[in-house]
Amino acid sequence: MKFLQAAIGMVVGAVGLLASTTASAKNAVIYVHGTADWNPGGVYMNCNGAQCVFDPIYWGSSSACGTYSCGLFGWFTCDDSCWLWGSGAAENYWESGNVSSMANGENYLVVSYQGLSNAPTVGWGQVVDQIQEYVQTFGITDITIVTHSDGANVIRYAEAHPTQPSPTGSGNTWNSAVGSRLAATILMAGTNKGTPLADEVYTLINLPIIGDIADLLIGSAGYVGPAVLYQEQANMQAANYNWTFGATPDEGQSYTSYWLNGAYLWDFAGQGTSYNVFGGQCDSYWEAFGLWTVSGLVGWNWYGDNPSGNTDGFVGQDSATYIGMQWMTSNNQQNHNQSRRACGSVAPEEQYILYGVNNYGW
Amino acid sequence: MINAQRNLAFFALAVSTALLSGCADGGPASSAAPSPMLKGGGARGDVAVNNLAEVPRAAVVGGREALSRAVASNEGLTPPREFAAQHSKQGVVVIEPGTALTRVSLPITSADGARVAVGSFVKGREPKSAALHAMTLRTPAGDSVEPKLGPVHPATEGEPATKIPLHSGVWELQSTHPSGDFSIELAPAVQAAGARVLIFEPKSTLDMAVLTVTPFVAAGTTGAVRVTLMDGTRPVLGAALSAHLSTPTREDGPSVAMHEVGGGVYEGTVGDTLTKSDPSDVYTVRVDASGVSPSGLRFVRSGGSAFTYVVPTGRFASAGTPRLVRDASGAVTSFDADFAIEASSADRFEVTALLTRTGDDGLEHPVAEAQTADDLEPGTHTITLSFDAGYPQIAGSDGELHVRKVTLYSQGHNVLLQRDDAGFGLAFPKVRLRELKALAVVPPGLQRALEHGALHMGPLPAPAQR
Repeated sequence: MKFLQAAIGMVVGAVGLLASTTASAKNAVIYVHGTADWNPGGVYMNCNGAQCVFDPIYWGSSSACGTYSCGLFGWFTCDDSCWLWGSGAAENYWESGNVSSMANGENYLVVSYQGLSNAPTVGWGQVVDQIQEYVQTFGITDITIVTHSDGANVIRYAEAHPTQPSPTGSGNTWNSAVGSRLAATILMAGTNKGTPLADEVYTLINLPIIGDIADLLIGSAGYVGPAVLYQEQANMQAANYNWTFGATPDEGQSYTSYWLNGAYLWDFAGQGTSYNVFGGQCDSYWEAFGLWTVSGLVGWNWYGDNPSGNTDGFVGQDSATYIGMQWMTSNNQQNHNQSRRACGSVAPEEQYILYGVNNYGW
Repeated sequence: MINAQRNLAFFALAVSTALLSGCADGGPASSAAPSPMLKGGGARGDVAVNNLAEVPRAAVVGGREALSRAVASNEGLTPPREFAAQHSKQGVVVIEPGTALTRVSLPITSADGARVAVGSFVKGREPKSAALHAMTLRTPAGDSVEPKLGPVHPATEGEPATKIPLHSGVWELQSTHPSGDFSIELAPAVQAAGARVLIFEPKSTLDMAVLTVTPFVAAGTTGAVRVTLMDGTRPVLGAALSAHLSTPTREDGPSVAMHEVGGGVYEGTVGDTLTKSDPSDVYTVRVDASGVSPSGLRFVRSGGSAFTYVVPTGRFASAGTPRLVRDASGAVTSFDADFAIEASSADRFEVTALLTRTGDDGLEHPVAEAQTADDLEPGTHTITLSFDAGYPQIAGSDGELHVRKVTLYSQGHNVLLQRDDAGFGLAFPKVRLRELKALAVVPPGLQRALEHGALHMGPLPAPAQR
């Protein structure tokens, strides 16, 4: 017992010593969106506290906003006002207030990349380029990466091949952009094993409801994009098996990846106790309607008649928890859109991230 | 909290073990380590290539880059996961554009919870809502099926609560519906544009499993795809199968001839139609099946499985003797291992491996990962992996360390070329913990793991549920 105590004391002492090595840390949260094309020439949100600046070096100016698709808010409600939102992934995918809240006063970067036109094995290049410039410009030392949906695969690829130069030709690598700065990656609703929705996009290429709702979900630039097709379950199984995305956890994956879990988090239904899914508190009824429809077509819940569906309407729990460690649990139902946004009075995923940053962060 | 305690105790035990075994002998390379020279002309491992190819120079270049970083697992290493069959309980009925048919039969083996949806071939030509509204789904008895309704629109959005039509062209069947041949009456616009009708039967016992038996197919070799059709425990015999390859860009590729083996199993050959000019990537085998189930019901099933096609640009030729690298004070700064790479084409090659130790639980646990990449011309070259000694030091590793999960990856073509899960049996000379040089700077992720006792890949301390 004495020996054990001595050993623990040694660990504590070592930790104290280690802490001193990062006393001058400058932290940042980096958000990586999922399957959508967000033009890197858009508005660059580099916010430190309340001060937000635009960086024209890489991101261009806000005048590029007109190139955005209506994305997540499109199809049912898209009109000219959609373009006016024009702050790319930060506004249309994550919502700026939410990413600011999740960052909890730390610096943060919302990357925008071609996450639909490029498979994750290619799309990671723009992400790494932006992280590299951001880190160098602002002297960031510690990075926590928060991904949503296919953003998980983008980061998994880059992290598995840290010496590979960016496909953009910049020469940047994950090692040079992130490397030892990485504190953690938090993968929200990751499509690590793919999603049945991608299967159906192939099966019924232009099923109106699939097509239109896929437009709604992933942008009107074309849902039959390489990233969607890449997320077919059979394809992802082969890619995981051949270690395109690195070894899986029990095969030696880095300890820095986490995911979310919970009794009801993945119990997406349509009514009854799942009022939040259609509650209109953090996404539109029509967005929830789209997820509900798609999930039903691929065999998940309709009216909660298949509680074993274990899905957020877009990705299954088994896919989202395929890699990494559990970050924390939740009993709040969140559909695929809600898990990256503020949901009014209902505890949103942002609070989970916030909780993690506060309790396990810097 | 239990996990937190366990992890802390585990880490403490690791340190304890390190202290207790501080008098362990160091010395030369383990006598238990097998010869590092590879057998069989360089091909070894669960992914192994022999038939190297000359292909155009890869565009990806970046110079030599190497790194070492910590990894951790408290579950112990396992072999690569089993490559499992993809199961399907759905099928597609194709309506060709310009068809004169006004009604199409839809075989359904289990109506309970089944979904039917109509799509089309080309975006922009899909049947519009009006056309879909004009279509009727009928049961085998001829009764019409009401379209699926959506959930209640919340009154909180300023509109009266109501149910809306789910979109025309989508139906959900009930347990009260009979099984058998349903039919759909085609609207003229659907006849003109053509359509694909999805039938999804979640509660059907008729399952199609598609497995690419050979997950890796190297250029010049072939693999097999196996389809198993079962109705519960009864094999489905005499089914009609068609299959084709789908390219990495999801274009339809060559057909795959399928033949019935028996017992509900059907097989075909893949890879025979691919050449060295085809890109290395993941290819999918798409399979459509139709027939009659043992219970006499007609069925359709669609599904697929994928495999990795590799045009090998290089392979491991040999693995050198692992060695310890020491600084002037004698402290071990890194664990190095050389790998000879035989390159047949100019490419950027990446070599990755894990460094493992055997834990108190008797399992091997990774403590570090090393990766080195370099641009190589055709010929034989050496790539060195260098594991920073600081990672096994901080994990309290002592004694013999092994190399595991060695991979050779083409960064130019984004494909795994070779993998040896056993790391070619490489093992480093035994070394004492106190000989290992500590990290100069602890990465933030590793520091976080230490602070929370998660170094050994366990869950973080469980927070209260929210």
